[in-house]
Amino acid sequence: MRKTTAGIAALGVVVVLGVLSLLAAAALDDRERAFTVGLPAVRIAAELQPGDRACRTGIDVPAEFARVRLVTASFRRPGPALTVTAGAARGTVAGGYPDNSTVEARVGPVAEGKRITVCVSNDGERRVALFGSPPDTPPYELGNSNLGPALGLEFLRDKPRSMAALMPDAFERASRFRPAWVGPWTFWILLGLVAAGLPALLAVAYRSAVIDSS
Amino acid sequence: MRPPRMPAPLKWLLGAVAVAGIAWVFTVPPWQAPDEDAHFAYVQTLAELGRRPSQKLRPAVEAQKSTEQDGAERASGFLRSYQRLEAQPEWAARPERAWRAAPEGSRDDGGGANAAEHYLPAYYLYAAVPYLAASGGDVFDRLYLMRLCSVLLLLVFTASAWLLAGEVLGRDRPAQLLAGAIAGLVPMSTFLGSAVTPDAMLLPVWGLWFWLAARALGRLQWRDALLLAALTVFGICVKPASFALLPGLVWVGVAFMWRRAGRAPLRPRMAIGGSVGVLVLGALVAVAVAAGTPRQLAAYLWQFYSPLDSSGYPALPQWPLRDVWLEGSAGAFGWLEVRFPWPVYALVAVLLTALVAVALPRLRPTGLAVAFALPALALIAGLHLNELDMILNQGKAFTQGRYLLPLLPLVALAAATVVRRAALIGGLLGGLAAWQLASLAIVMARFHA
Repeated sequence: MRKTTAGIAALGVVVVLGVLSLLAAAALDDRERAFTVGLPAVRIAAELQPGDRACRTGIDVPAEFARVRLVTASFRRPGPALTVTAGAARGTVAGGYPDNSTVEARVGPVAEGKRITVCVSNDGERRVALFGSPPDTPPYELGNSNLGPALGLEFLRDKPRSMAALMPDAFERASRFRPAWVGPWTFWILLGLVAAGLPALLAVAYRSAVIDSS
Repeated sequence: MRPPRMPAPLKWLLGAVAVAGIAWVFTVPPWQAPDEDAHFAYVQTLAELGRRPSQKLRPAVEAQKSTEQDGAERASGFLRSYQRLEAQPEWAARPERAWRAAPEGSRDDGGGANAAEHYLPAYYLYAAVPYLAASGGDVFDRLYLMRLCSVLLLLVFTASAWLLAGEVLGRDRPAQLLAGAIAGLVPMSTFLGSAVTPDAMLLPVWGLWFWLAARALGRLQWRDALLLAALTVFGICVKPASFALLPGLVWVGVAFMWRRAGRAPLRPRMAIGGSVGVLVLGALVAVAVAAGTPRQLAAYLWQFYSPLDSSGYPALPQWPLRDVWLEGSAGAFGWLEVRFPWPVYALVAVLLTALVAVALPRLRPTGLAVAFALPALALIAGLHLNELDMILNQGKAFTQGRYLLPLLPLVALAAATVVRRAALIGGLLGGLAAWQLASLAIVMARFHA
C-alpha cells in the first residue's frame, strides 16, 4: 500500500510540475510571425530597377497580420525606398538600409481569410534585389535553376501572441488535410487524453502492477 | 489450450501508449515524418501496381509518386515546408476546399525509384492492408489509417519490452511496467511508431528478438530458437539494419547448442573470451570493409565522438555524439528539424549517464549479456561504416539518432533492473507522460502556430 502511494504520488508530482512548466512556457512563448510564403529566401526572385514593381499573387491569409518583411540586396550600396502593398493595405520602407538586409513595412491590419496580392515597388534611384524561393519545392530542389523563384515574404502580427493564446487557432489549422471527420474538437479531446488520461492510465497501471506483484 | 491472460498492468500500459500513439498520428501533418512520403509511395505502388518501386520500370524522377500523392503534397503545403522551420504547411481553409472539390488524381502513375526502393517489402505489405481497407476514401484517409495501424506495432514493441523484463528479471510487475513504458513512451519511439515507416515494424522485431534470445538461452526450447532465427530473417525483410542481428543469432545458436548438449552454462571467462574474440573479429571486418581507409575510419570516429574536433569531415555536424546520437534519439521530430531547447537534452544525457554508471557495475559477463551486446555493437558499427562510405563517396552524412532506437528495449531493461524504489518508478512514469506532452506541444507549435 505504501509502495502504491509513494509511486503514484511521485508520478502525480512530476506530471503536475511538467504540465505547469509547459503552461508557463506556452504563456511566455510570444509569436510575432503570423505566417510566411516563399521561404527560405535563398535566391533572387526579382531585381527591381528604379520605378519597377514585383508582385506575388494568390496569397491566402490564414492569420491576421500588420507588417511584411522582405529579404533584400542592394549591391553594396544603401537600399532604395520601397512601397509594399498587401491587398488594399499599404506601407513603406525608408531608403538607406544596409546591403543584404531584411526590411519591414508596416501596412496596417489585414484580416484573416482574404486572398491577396503583395506587390513591392522600388521608389528610389538605385536597383534592389528581392529574395525568395521556387514555390512548392522540396529542399533539395531549391537551387534548381530550371525552377523560377517567387518573392519570399514574412507576415508579422501587430503585437505578438503567446503560444497559449494561439492554441484554438493551432487546433483549427491542425485539422486541415486530415481525414474529413477530423476537426479542431479532435485535438481538444486528444489534449485532454494526453494531459490527464495518459498519466491516469499510468497511475492505474502502476497500482495494478504493485497489487499483481504482492 | 487457453491463450495466456494478459496481465492487468500491461493492459493499462497499452492503453496509455495507444493514447499517446493516436495523439501523434493526428498531430503530425501529412508526410512530416522522415521519408514518410517515400514509404507511402512504396505502399501505393504495391497496392495499385502490384510491384515494388523501380527505377527500370519508371525512370522519370517525377514518377516516384502518383499524381494523387503529388497533388496532395502540394496542396497541403508539405513540399514547401518540410525540413524548413521558417515555412509552415497550408493553414488556410480555401486551398483545402479547392483540393477536395478537384477531381482525384491518378493513383497508379507512380511506381518509380524512391528513397525506400531498396527495402524488402515486409513492412509495406503490412501497411498495404489499411491502404486497401481505406481505398474508398481520399489519400489522407489512407495515410492516416496506415498511421493508426502503425500504432498497433508500437503496442507490440511496448509488450516486447515488458516480456523481456519479465524473462530476465522474473515476474516483477513494476519493473516490467517501467520497461514497457520506456519502450512505448519515449517520444521518438511513439513518433516513429505512429508514422508510415518501416521503423514502426523494426522496433517490435528487435524488441521481440531480445525477448526470444533471453527465452531461448533461459528455457532451451527448440521452438524459441527457431522463432528467433525466423524473426532475424523477417527483420532483414523489414530493414537491412537487421543484418546486425546475425552475430547475435550465431552466438545464441552456439550457446543454445552448448547448453542443450548438457554442458554447464558458459563460464564468465569463456563468455568474456568469446565476446572479445567476436569484437576483434568485428573490428577486423570493419577495417576490411573500409578497405584502404583505416585512417579515415579512425579520423571519422574521433570526430564523431570527440567534442574537440569538428574539422575533418564537413558533412558531419559539429559534435555528432551530441547532435546525432543524443538529440536524434531523444527528440528530433518532423524531418528531424523539430527539437527541444538544449537543457532538455542535457537532462537526458545526465539521466543516461547515471543509468550507465549504476547499471554497468551490475552487468555480469553471461552468455545472454553477450547475445544482447553483439547486435548492439554490430548495429552501431554498421551505421558508422555506412556513413563513412557515404561521406567518402558522396560527401554527405547518413547516420541519424533514430537508427539507435531498436536498442531501446535494452535501455529499458537496464532501467528496470536498477530502478527499484517505488517513488523513482513513479517519478519516471510521470516524467515519460510529461515528456510526451512536451513533445507533442513542440510539434504542434512548429507546424500549426
